[in-house]
Amino acid sequence: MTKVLIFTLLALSSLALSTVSVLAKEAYRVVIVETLPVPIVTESRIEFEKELVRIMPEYDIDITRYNAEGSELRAQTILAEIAKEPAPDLVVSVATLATRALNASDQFVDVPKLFMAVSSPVEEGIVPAIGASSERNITGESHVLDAKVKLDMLEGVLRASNPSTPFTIGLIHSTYPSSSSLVSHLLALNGNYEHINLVAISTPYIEGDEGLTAMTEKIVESLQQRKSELDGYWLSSGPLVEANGLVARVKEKTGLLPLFAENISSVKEGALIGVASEPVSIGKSAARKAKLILDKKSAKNIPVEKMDTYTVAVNVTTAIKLQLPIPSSYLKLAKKHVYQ
Amino acid sequence: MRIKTKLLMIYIPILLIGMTVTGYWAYLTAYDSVREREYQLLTQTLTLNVLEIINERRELLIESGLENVPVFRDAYQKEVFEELKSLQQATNRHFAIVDKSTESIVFSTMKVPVVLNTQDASSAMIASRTVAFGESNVNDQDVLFACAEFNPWNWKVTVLQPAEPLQSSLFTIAWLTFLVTLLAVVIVSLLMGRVTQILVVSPIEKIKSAASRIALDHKKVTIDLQQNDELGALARDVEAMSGEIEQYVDEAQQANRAKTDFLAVMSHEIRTPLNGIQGLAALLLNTPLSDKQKQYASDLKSSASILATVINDVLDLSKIESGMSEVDVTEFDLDVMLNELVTLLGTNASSNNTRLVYKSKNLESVVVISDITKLRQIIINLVSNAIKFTHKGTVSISAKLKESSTENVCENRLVIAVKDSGIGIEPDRLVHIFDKFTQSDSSITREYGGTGLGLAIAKQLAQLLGGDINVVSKVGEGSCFTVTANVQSRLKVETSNDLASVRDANSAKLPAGLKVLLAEDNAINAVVAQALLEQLDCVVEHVDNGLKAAARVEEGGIDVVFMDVHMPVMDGIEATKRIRKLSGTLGHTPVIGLTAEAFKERHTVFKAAGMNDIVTKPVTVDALQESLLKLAIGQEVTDNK
Repeated sequence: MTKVLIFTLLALSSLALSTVSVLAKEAYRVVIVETLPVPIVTESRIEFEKELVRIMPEYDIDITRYNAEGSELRAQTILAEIAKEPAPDLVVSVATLATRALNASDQFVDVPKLFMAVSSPVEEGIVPAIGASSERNITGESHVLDAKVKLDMLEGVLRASNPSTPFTIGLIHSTYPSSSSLVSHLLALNGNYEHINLVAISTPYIEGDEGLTAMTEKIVESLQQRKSELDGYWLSSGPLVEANGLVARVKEKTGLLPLFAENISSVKEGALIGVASEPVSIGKSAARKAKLILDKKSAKNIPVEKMDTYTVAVNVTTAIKLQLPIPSSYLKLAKKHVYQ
Repeated sequence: MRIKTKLLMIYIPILLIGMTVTGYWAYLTAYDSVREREYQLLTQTLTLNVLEIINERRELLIESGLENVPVFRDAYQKEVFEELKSLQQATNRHFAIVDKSTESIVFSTMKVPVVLNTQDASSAMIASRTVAFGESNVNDQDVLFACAEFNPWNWKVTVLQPAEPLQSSLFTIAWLTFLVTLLAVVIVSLLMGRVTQILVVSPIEKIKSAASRIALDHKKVTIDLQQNDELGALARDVEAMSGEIEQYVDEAQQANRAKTDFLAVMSHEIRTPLNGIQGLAALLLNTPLSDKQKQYASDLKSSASILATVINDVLDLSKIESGMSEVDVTEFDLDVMLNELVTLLGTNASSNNTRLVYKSKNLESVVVISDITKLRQIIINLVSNAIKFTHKGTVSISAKLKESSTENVCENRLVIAVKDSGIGIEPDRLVHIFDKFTQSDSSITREYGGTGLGLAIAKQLAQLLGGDINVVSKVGEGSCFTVTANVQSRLKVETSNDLASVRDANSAKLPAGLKVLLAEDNAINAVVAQALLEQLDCVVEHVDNGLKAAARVEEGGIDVVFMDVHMPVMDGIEATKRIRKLSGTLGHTPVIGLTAEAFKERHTVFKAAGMNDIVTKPVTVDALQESLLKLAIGQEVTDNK
């Protein structure tokens, strides 16, 4: 009787253990390295995490976050520290400098890598062309709209007012890698547009929060100097566009208004028209790619692409003020992003 | 006209009317459908495209709070104009926008001002908008239009399109409808014609063919028709009927043969004693008699003559009605024939104190081709009748041919009128004048005698000759009988010897002492015939059967034989055959048949047996003499009856 009882207890114990082992979730370790704590980076990362957890409920996702504070060097240091630990299942880089460091690191060659919020992956040498795959086990998406499309949109707006002379537009940017790259694209295409005359106004990229303030002041100063020849300015993608109060400061000091911005918050602040990928879209799209990788699809086989979702925003107060009627097609595209 | 043609002549117009009505209905339906579709497209273009383009922009302005911003409104209205220009190029429709208040043109894709006549326009609610649409004329061009108001911007928006494509479509539809209708009529007509041919015409033709065979042969027929419908039943009925007809015809032919045989026998049996009576009466009158005896003998002869006439009439009518009377066409001089009749009947007229006159037209030197015997009988009957009912008056015969004759034989119409100034006929009796055994009044029979068959025979003979007899009469003034007949005629090119020869023969004399063998079993008839022949200076030997006659001829010395047909021991036909078998000239001894049988076909049989001529009883001196004279001049003649 005792033997039977002992045998039954053992059997039940083994059954319970096997059930627990079956019910226990598989765990993945994901490491995220952000370039700097600007809204587009932070919000994109947060949305990525939320979406990944949502679409992979059967797994425990262990996420470790690092911020390079706008410094490529800092990013390299972080990656070196991470390399000392057991290799994660996925390393995610957010924005250009962290991505550049990750792609360059030889310590993570065998670890699948994913980037997001990078403007120019081709120029960064990640892939030879949009649509191609990387041999370094890394994939991701560019969140920036093609330069030609942006110029077409602005040309459409300006043409509606039938101006006699082209609008001289200050193309403000920093020497942050993605900004420089985008500006050179825009300047290269400018000659094709009748109503646009882009004038590059640059400031050196300075890391950190203090760098943002300094860059803002520098830009305001440059615009003040050239305000007489400008009809407005273009806020290019990069850290500068994320600087708080830039639009207000420029307006205060120069009276100039941004005609085109590559983020939505600038349109809220007064940019005539803007187009950008929203952090929500960037994060969700990256999470879907992360799931593929964690589901054992090799990052080498996932091509690097541009995002397919962008948000258009218009500011009608600026349009009225500048007497530039925004074509109905843009107004319609903007939908809930029509600001006054 | 054939039944198939008739049916098609009925079917085709009905089909044409039916198909035309259907086609016209289809055309109207298609016409309405095409117009409705065009207007639908036009109004939909206006409401779902043009007004939506406008409204979309206005709503966008409202949503964006830019409705009252002139620069935006102007820009968006300009966008509308640009889109309408593109739409005009894509759809080939024109668009015009007019300010409702000022009636000024805000925008137009047409180069000319758009002034529409919207009085007759229809209106409809489409997509919650009131749309007016219709046809109008713009710059001498028919257009279809649809217009609606866009009140927020105080616009009146119009869409126009040329009516020509619609009219072209309608023209095409009209032609297609016409051609399809025509094709349908042709195909359906052909099909109906074919079906009618198979189901109706062909069976009817088979039945008709069978009916024709029945009419021709009176035999049972079999019709190859396997249908189980009315025509199939008709075919079976016709087959059954043909069987009955065959049976009835056989029975009728048997009855007719029996009737003919009966008439032949009766003719023979009556004529034989009548021959004796007439002959004996004639002989008696040639003997010395007292006046009273002479009167009795004369009355006896007259009575026998009347009886002979009655018998002849009955036989004639019987022959005609039984279809045995045939038209025997010969060439003759009608003028001569009528003149002879006038001479013949003139005696009777004179005895009635009546003048008989004759006149003719187109008959001189003309030969008529017809049945002389029947024509003569018709005229004799009519003239005898006229003389009988005319006392101290005039009976005139006038004859003419309707067409002038030529040297070539041609068809002609003979008209002979016999007019008298006699007692006339009551109008109510006139219609029955040609009925058999009918005279205008029963008292006539008592007063004038006669069988009442003369006119009936004359009319039927005239009809046999393709003509008729009509009568016009007035009581107390007289009657006029007009005979018509189809004849052929030609001008006489040379004098024919025939009639002259006959006349010569009639005027010729018989040689005296002609040795005649009379074969006659009836003693009285033998006496009469012998007496009559002796009046012609003939030397007569009498035998009472054919065997004796043949034997006597074989002995020789006989110039001519008068041979009765029906005799005991050996009849006349067999005896004649024996004579013809004799060698030498004996075999060619002329044989003249004596018979009471009046039918021509029997005479043909007698002649086929070898007889040279036939004399019908009761015999007369004239008939015997005429027959002897014919043979004396060596001519084979036909029956002298």
